[in-house]
Amino acid sequence: MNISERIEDLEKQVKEVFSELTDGEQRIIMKVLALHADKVHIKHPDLIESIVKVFDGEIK
Amino acid sequence: MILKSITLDNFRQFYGEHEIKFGVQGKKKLTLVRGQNGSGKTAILNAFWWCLYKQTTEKFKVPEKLISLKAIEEVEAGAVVSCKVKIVFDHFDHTYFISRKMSGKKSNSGLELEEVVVEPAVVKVTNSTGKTDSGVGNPEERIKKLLPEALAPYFFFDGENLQHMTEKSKKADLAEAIRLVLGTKVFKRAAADLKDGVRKYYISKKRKHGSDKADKISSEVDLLDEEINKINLKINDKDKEVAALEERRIKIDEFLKRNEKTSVLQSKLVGIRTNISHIKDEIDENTQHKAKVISDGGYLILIQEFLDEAREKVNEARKKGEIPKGYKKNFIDDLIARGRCICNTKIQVGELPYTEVMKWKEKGSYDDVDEIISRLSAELEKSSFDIEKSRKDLKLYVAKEIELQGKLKKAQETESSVLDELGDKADTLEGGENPKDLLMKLEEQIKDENRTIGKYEAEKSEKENLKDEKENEFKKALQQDKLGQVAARKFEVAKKLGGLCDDISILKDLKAWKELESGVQETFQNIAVKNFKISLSEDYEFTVKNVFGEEYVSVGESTGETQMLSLSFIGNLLKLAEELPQREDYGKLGAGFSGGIFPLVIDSPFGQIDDNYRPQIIRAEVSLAPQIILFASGSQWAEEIDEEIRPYVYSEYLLTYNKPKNSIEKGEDLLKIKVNGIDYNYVVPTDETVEFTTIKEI
Repeated sequence: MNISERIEDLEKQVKEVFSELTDGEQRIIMKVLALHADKVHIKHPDLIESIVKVFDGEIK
Repeated sequence: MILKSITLDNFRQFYGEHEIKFGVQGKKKLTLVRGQNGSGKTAILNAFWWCLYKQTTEKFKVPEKLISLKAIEEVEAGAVVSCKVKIVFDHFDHTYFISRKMSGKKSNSGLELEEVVVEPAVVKVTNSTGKTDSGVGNPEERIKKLLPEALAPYFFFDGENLQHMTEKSKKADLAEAIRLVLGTKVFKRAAADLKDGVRKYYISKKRKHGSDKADKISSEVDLLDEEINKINLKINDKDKEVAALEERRIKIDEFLKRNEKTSVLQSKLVGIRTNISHIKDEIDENTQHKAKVISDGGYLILIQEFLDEAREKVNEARKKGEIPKGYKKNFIDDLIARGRCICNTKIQVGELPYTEVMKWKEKGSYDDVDEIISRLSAELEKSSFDIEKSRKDLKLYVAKEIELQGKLKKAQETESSVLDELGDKADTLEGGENPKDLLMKLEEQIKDENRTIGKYEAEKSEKENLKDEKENEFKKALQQDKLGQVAARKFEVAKKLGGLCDDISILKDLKAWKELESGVQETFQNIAVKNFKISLSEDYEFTVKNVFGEEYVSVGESTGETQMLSLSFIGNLLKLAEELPQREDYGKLGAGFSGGIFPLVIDSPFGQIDDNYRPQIIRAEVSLAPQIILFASGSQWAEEIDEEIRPYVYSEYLLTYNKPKNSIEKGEDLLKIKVNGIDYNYVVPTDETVEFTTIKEI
């Protein structure tokens, strides 16, 4: 499989998985990515704790 | 980022406060700083690095001694003396003022300092309305968001490094830079934290919602994780060893190419080897085609016997007139429904015509049965055609394989005889070894190391599968009460989202790879003289090839082409950074780097390149960046280059090196430089006992 075919395949797969996420799951992933975007250059020990808080807020 | 100024205060050779102003005005975007070797050009490049990242470049000597010796000399022992660098630049609608200070107490022993302190950077920002934030929180983090440290070596660098930037050993740095500029790194980190971080957190905080079994399994997963990390480290180490061996191999190649006795043979060898690699690629491609034919139509060949039998039976039935039947059961059904035959006889239940007609019905066939038989016949014909086609294709691919293997064998034999000839003619290396023997030894070692890497990869994959199994067990162990079920659900979602982030990061990597290869190719063709082909392996290894008909001859070892390749890569990084704010996911999924335009700040812009390549390099450098700052010595600056760049000059500075009179040798010629017809002194004698440099706009 060449690169273009792999891109096409993965794109399809990602779109499919993303569309099947519940609203809560979509909110979690966006929040987790936003947390990482802010802290991508420096290791933050409290990052995992912040992620767990996001999970606690969405899944009860 | 458009640089406006840099101010050096007692920084290295620069005693007192000196400001260099930069700017962009139409096509005037170049600031030229000229000075002789040792006058402080590299110090200015490092002033940028130190102010932004508290770091200096690799070649910068005694990086801990940044305070001007003359400033230290002037104060009494015990007095505090300091140096400071301030950079001002515009970025998007803001003006940034970034400064950093170092101070120390003069000791009793000469010009030494003690209690040296480097203060954190101070970042002040003024927005477009003039509002100033004079103490930005987390300044170091803010700077890294503006320009991540991993990207800075491509925008602020020593030209001597240009030829090494795209070397094989630097491929991990290239990949990191591209990932940063496209935000892939965010997804990678998020994937790791989601997949493992969440589980570890629940266990470490003793938020047990299941049983001790969950704890136990989690520890087993951790153990597997550790083992996987250890294997990863081993793979990284081996990768580095392979890169080091390859570097040695390149050096021997260069040695053989430089040597008159072997240069022709060496070029021939490079050509043969590229050809061998090309043939191997063709063999791989052919094998893939062959495999596809077998998987698509190979089964037909295997069941051909049954297909032939079926075809024979259908034909026989057709001959006997059994298929298709002269009439259809559907026709008899219609007659019965109408209650009258086509000969006008009444057909009524219980009467003779009805019984006769029903007998005919039994012998008839249905439309759909005929259709199935007709379709089957067509399928059988088609499979016969497919079998024939598969056979033909297979034959072609097998023939091609034989032909390619023959070509490969011949090329390898030529390679071996050229190597033998090289071995006979080559001078020995410094250590007394024959280059040919060493080359073969290195190749064997590279093969061995690659085999070991393959073994580690297999071990890693085994451990990863085991980890997956254990994680499933962990999830089950949690599901014992309601809280346990919620925890299991969180764990499951975290794993799913982690996998999704992984896929997105791979997808982004692949897209970046594709974009980069074509972008670098395009830039390279725009700035290089000859027609070359750039290829980029999936793990970010660049090669430059010259195309002669169908033969590819690698010219990767040529300094000119490698420098142009590095500049093409930098040009694409600049382009991707500039385009980042326009990307669809900018600001939504977070890039961690805000992108925008960036200058190029280059010390020794030509590195070690030949004179005939210099105008091309300078043209490329000027064309790629929206702003450019160059530090060059007189010997690097030929008249033709000056003419070439004159229309782009925004400002020009001269570094005057003040040399203590007692260190000037009798009859020593103090260097001068001519700019726009005026003579300037590069070096002036001073009565001071320590050297220092002053900066003057010319």
